[in-house]
Amino acid sequence: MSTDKHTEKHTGISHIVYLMLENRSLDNVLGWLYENDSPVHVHPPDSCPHFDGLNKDFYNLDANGKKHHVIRGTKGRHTVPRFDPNETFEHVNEQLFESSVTPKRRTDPASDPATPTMGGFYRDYARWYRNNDEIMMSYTPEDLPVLNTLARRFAVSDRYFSSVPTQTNCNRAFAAAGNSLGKTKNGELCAWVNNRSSNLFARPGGKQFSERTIWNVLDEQDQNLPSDWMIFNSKGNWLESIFQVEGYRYTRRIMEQLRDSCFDKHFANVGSACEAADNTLYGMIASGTLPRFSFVEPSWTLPLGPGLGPNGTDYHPPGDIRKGEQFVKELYNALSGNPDIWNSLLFIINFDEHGGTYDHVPPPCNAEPPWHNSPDTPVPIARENGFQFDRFGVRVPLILVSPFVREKTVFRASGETPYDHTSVLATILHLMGVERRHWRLGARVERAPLFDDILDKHARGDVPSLTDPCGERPVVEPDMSKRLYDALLTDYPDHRAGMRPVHAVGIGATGYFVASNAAKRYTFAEQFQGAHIPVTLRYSNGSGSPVEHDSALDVRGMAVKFHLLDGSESDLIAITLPIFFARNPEAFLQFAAAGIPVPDKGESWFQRLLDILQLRNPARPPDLPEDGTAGVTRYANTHMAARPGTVAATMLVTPVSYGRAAYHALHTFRLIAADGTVTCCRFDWDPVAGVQPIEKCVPDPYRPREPSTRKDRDNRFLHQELRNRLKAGPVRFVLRINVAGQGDDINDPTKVWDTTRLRVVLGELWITDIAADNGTACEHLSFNPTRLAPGIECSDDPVLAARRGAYEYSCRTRGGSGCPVGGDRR
Amino acid sequence: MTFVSRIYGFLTRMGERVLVAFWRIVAPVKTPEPGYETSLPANLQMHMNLVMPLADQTAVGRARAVQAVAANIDELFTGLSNVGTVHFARFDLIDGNLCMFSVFDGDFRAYIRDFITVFGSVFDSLLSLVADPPPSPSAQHPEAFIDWIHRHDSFQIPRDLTALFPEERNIRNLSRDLVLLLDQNPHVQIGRFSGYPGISVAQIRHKSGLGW
Repeated sequence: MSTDKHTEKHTGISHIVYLMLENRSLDNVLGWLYENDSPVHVHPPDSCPHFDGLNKDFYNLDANGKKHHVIRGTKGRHTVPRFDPNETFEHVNEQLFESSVTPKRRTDPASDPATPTMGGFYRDYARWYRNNDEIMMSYTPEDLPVLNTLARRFAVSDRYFSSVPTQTNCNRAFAAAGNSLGKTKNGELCAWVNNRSSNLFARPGGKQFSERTIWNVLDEQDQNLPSDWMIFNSKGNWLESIFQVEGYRYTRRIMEQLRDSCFDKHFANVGSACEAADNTLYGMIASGTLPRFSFVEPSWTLPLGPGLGPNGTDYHPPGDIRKGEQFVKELYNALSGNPDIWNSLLFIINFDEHGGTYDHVPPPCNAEPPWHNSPDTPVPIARENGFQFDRFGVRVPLILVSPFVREKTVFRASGETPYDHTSVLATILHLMGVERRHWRLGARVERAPLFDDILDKHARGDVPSLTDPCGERPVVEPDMSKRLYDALLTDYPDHRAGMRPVHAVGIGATGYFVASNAAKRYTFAEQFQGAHIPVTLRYSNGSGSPVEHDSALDVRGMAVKFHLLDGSESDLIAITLPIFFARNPEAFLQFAAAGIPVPDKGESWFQRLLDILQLRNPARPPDLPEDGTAGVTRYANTHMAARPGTVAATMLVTPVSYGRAAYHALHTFRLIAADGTVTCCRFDWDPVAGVQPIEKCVPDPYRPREPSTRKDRDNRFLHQELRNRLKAGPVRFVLRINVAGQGDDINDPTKVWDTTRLRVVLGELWITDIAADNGTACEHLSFNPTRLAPGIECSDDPVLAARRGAYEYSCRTRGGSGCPVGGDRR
Repeated sequence: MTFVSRIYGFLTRMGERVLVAFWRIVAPVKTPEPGYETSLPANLQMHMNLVMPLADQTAVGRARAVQAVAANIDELFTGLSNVGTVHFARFDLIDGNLCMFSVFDGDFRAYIRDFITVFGSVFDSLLSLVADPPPSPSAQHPEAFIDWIHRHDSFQIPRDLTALFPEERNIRNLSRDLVLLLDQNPHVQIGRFSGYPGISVAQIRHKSGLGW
């Protein structure tokens, strides 16, 4: 790719976040990315339409000449390879050339002796470790859903190479400065990161790389404020804490020029996604004060053997790779959750080196030595291992995440020179508006192909959501149930002990459910096989206040308990809101905190006039003197995921009857058919009599006739209406499922599914009577959205997972019956 | 309607026009690209709402359009049947616009390409009555034809309104954004319902024993 055409920088990008991870080749983590299909967009457009990933024909030979083929997947383990593969220069030579000797510098490209065979990974690993085949294993998209989803939903390069065929520090030096000063070894930091053979007790320090870095360049160009650039380091691991290097700043350690105290203000911690404290990366994201360029360090794995040593978030083998997945997911969620950041973001994720893991693409041998024809970059006095810096290292992932990146893009450099770490460096400088003549970081950076032309002019509208790492059940923090419960209580200061924290006022009813003929094709759950299944249900208003406000524009709930033959139960909880406000428990806590009611008199005449002049709909008058709507609106302004639910809540209507509203179960569930077929779906209850809001002014014949006071007429009519209605005959609901389609977010309750999805009727509910004893039948009874009959399973929606414990906690707190979930199965 | 209420209504509409003109300049919104995905599953029912202004919008011009559709009705219906992915298609004349509303399966571009192949020549003759028609014949300019159809396909407002304006920083402004979007797009599709979503024409024909 010619760099000449890059004369104008992309104007939409004003936040760059660069996360460099550790020690995985492209094949190791993304090798099966496009196993069954091809990317939609490739760059350059005339390049190969397919992603250069793995296939099972690739192999290495062992010492006896036996073939060891690539293995798809890691047999369910997330610590593969379980030993840290060799990564020093000599070993990389073995892996690439099947010889530890440095290949001769190429002279004749036609008979190039330096073309790697990529055939020595197996032997290099097998010589040192047992479990040899692990080096040929590679993670699938199901194993690593976070990294693979980002690569698919945005852009990934299949021709991006580490800068040097060796270990971490030299590659990180190239990423920071375009030059490792002739070094091919990690040097004095070996003891701390990446090298299991060095002295554990050596303190980090000493000389590493003394050259100018990208941050010095920015500083020289008057981009020297914390708002211009910051380097964020993750919290140190326990071993680092013991040795007093808590909050270890790796980049600052290895790049000497950054140690100057004048740069102190440019360093801060990543912090916690839950707390988003000030002066941390997450805090700055939440407050919209993220610098223009942020370099992010993960926490570091210290490999001391299988299962030994601190497990960081850096993906470094042999650590549990799920910690890295969780870290990337949290960072992505935070970045995409603030529209002020997201709409101007380029989030770059790459890996520093392959770390000895297998890749099938030979690295090109046309790398530019940094000092080649570059007066600012002296030729190093000594070059370790005699390496001429004319070869690239092994291919590693480079993922670009941005609203300006098109979905399913695979990109490569268009010229002969491939992308390497200096391409990231050069692209960032370009996007930061630094003129090329001021870079002076050596020939490699000067001639690096940029990738800013991958970025579209216009931002796309969607924000893809990520599933939880590794498809495992979401992990709910131990105290989350209590925190969720307490957060809800704060939203309702008049909460009364012994009542539910939300949906406090309710009325019980009984009836039966009959499944449709279609239902049993989707699930073997007992209630869907066609028999009459007795049900108990509870209708409620969403408020946690003990005072009934039936005329309020509130959410209504319908919790149904199916009583199965063996005495067990299966619950289905639905509300009139079709989507939720938060996609994980932490976000819900923030949302609940934002919704704490404050005195609210509604809009003044002046504000209403301003609304008219600004073409805004008038704000909904508060139902009560204290209201949390303003806080919730402010929260939704800065949290994109909360917007659909918040806007949907403003469109809520008061139903004339609990029996004339549609209810939605919010989360995705898995239906398991008798033949094992899994169907992901969302449940809806639709009233057979139709939906009727009270605003329609159609007389409701069942509405109580003689209210004792006006207050009663406005605020207490739904219970009596239901009694009157049931005296006249059953109230019926149809249960439908919407089946997830391509691209639907299974685990995100804030995402709306399109109406084009397959819709199936599972059965009909007949509500026949009001519960004889409302207290016993409903108010003390525990409903729980995760109490499910065999044949139905929860999705991996983290909110759903958190609701299990929160409902159990609530049940215990109010002295309810029927908890914990599972305790009722006989 | 009283005189006073008529005056009030007139002033309100005038005021709204002024405000829309003002906000069109101060806080413009852009219509999101429809984003027709490729490689959609064949059972995904998609909608096309083609609104094509007639070159001659007088009664004479409109009568000419009705006659043109009527004269080609066999070719059109046979073609739509042969495309094999069309659930329904309807030709309407609304004001001065010749409209074709249809529900089809899967990929938009594939649908239009089939369209060109099966009855492009008939459609070319209809489009000769339309203002600013695409290059003709469509069979020789498929990409230009697809782009033209794209431009005349009414914008479809998604179920999640917030997704339309991801750059909006205040959700209270979404109502204004919607006004400005409609200012740019006089014809939009507001909602869509299907009695049997997620089922393709081929599946229905097969299950119902209707044959091809």
